[in-house]
Amino acid sequence: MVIDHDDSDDLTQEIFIKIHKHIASFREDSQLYTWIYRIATNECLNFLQKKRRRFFLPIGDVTGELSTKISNGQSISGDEVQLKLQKALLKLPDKQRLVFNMKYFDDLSYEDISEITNTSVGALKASYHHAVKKIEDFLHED
Amino acid sequence: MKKLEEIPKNNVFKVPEDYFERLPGIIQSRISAESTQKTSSYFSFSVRYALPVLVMIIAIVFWFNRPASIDGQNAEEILASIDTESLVAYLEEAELTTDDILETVDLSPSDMIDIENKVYDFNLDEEEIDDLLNAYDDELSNL
Repeated sequence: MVIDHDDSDDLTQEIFIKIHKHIASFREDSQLYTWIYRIATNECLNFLQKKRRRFFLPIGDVTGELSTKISNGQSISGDEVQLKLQKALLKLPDKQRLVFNMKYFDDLSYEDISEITNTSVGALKASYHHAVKKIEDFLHED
Repeated sequence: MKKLEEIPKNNVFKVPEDYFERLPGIIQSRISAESTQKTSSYFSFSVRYALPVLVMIIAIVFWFNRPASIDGQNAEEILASIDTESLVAYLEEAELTTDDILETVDLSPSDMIDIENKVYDFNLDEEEIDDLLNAYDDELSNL
């Protein structure tokens, strides 16, 4: 979600520290991995939001910065099409990109994603199919 | 037009070697560092805010319980230094009633018993009684 390895590393540590701090409050009304996933997704979205606000960058500039990291990043490898796919994903709003990643790359069910993001299954299906259409349009442009 | 299902689903993000082996240690040390910092911040908070409040409370208690004194002398010492004639003159001019005096005097039960005993032990001869009666007569006629 955040592309850069150093940012991912910081976030991963923050997420596990938060889990450690709040594990006592885990109510077991959901599965543990769902609860952990929810913390992780919230941290990622908050991080991206703060990044945009901190530098007063319009959305396009942050997208451009992350796109450059995909092209030049040392921790990123893949063929041209896969890198293009990652750049296409950056065009999506953060929440839609999150849903896409969980469905496409992590193979989570809509029900699990619904529990994590607190969004209805119907809305998620619509969001995912709309994301697929946008990505395919972007891949076709080039 | 390339379809999404035609693109192989590969993870393009690489993980550095031994990253997940080192991660638990890094997290553990951060948690330990944060808990030490929290303990010392509780202590510094209490020193910074609780101590001055405590000092003020002690100062207020001492202020209200301080002995009444002027230039190091207490009230009894000051009264002892004033001659009896001046005291009597002051009491006559001040027009203090017995009730006014009694309000300010804090008599213990033993003090009251002593006073009663002294009154009842008054041994006045007839001449002294006549002088006292004449003095009261003058006071009454002046009202």
